[in-house]
Amino acid sequence: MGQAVMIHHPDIFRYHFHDDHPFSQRRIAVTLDLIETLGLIQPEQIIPPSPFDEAPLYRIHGKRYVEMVKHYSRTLVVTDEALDYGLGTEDVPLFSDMHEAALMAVRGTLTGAEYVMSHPGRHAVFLGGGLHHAFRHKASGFCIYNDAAVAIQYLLDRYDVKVLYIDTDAHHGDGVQSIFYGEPRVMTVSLHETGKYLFPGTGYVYERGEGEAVGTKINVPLEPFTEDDDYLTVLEQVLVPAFEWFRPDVVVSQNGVDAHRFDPLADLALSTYAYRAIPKLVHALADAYAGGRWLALGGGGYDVWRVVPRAWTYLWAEANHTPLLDADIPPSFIERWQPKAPVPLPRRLLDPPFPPIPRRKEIQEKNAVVLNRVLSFFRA
Amino acid sequence: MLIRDIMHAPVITLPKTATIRDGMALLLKHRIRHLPVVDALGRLYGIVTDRDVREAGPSRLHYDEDDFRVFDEPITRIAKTDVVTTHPDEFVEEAAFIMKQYRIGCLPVVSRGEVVGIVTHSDLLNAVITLMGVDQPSSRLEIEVPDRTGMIADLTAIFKAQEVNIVSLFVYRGTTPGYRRVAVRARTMDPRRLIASIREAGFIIRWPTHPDHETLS
Repeated sequence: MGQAVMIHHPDIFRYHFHDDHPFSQRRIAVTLDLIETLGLIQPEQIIPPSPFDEAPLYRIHGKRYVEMVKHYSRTLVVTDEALDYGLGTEDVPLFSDMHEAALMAVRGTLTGAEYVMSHPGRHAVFLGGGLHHAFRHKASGFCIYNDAAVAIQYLLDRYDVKVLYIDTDAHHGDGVQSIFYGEPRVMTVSLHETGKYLFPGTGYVYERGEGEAVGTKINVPLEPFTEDDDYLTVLEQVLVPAFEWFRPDVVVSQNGVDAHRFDPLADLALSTYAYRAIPKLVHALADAYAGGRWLALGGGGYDVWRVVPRAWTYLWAEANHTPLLDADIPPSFIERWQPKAPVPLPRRLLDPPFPPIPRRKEIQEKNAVVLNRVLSFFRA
Repeated sequence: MLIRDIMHAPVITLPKTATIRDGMALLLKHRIRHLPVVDALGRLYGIVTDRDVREAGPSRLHYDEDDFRVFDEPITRIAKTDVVTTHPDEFVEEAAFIMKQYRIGCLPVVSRGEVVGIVTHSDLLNAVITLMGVDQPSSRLEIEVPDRTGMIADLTAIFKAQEVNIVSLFVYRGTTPGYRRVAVRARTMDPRRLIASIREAGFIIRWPTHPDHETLS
């Protein structure tokens, strides 16, 4: 068994703002424990981030901004200057060694990018990556450095390839999109809850790239409370023509799992069924069009006990060519973590059916309008 | 937001002495639809649109060489001279109202007798997008507050206490009598504590809501 590597090192857990902050990479520890307990991974499949130097970081982020991150990682005093760079806000509070922690995420994603290029047909998963809100000169939405953008730029520079970035986080992948807005070698596809309501407020259909890159940025803003079937239909109908039209050499997916119904920060209504299906589709398309070069990253996911471990277990299982249907959560896992969890842990990987969302028809209608608008660009 | 903030300036104009052919060429070259016609001092004489020029031309169905001479005629023959204009210091909503009232697609901007700019439908639409839109990452909240003095101050004090910056704020007529609806964009990805404090202060949160709560009610 084993068609994939899991990039991981305990230093990833240092990406932790404070104990009351919704985003913490400590959720990865719980996820890895579930994957291990289910017997889905061998120790030799776990590789640490390689010690890349900081040069690729500066291809995306401004020198001044990186200096600021380093500086405030040490002083930990919020100033107006820090706030100008998005540092020291409620969303991105200062913590010691934040530069090192954020750089670790960048290195992990770079390691994955390098791995999929040098190991044809094998995949890489790095759950500590996918910090898609970071901008060139500004931290935003829990994200300091944009690891995905750094790695994509690295792929462009070193291999001159076309990269398809697929973002299924509930929030729009605004940082990655804006960084590559004029870059025709990078296609970004983001499905997210509409910015009318949710952070960051962008990701409209008409955001399509600029200059030579017009048409390479695809946004599918979905109605709040969109459910599995509707979501998966839209995803497939957009991804297939996107692959067909763009013909990527490499696929980078951002696998935020905050579109789940339980997630406290967004309003979509997926179940873990969708989190089994999404990577399956991406995997099949990456194999068919991109020689299997697929790097899967983490992302959002704020129900750290009930959603993240199960959803990312499905992601790993898919990438590892050991797909799962449904399974019991091993009792030993529940025994280990239930005392720490404030909510009852689920007993199965798949969620039982949720009660249907009121207004489902209306939601589907609105999503269909958006989908048609997106698809009309492919026909044009 | 003022017209001067959104108008096109400098503006492409056509001298009064030009021919219809000149007008057509200029419209095509700049891919525009409206062309103010000005005198030697830059004062507005009239306006021509791409449609006026097209309609002045010969029939596409009936070909006769002589018909093309129409293009050599002066632009003043077809320019509309009764032009509704606006001023750089006009508010954008006022200009939008005028365009709607007169059913016109553009307004030359005139200051001290001179044409200094032009605004079109799409400029006003862009202005709306800018006014209502999102220029910084933020989350939307919809809140109902009693229609009384000081309620917005009370509400925004909660944002200050929670140290969450407000990116934009609209107050408009809501659906509940005696209340105003406030749409706020807050610069945070996690508005939960903020929402709890707003509720605690007695305001009604209309968004975000949860589907499972809808089911119950």
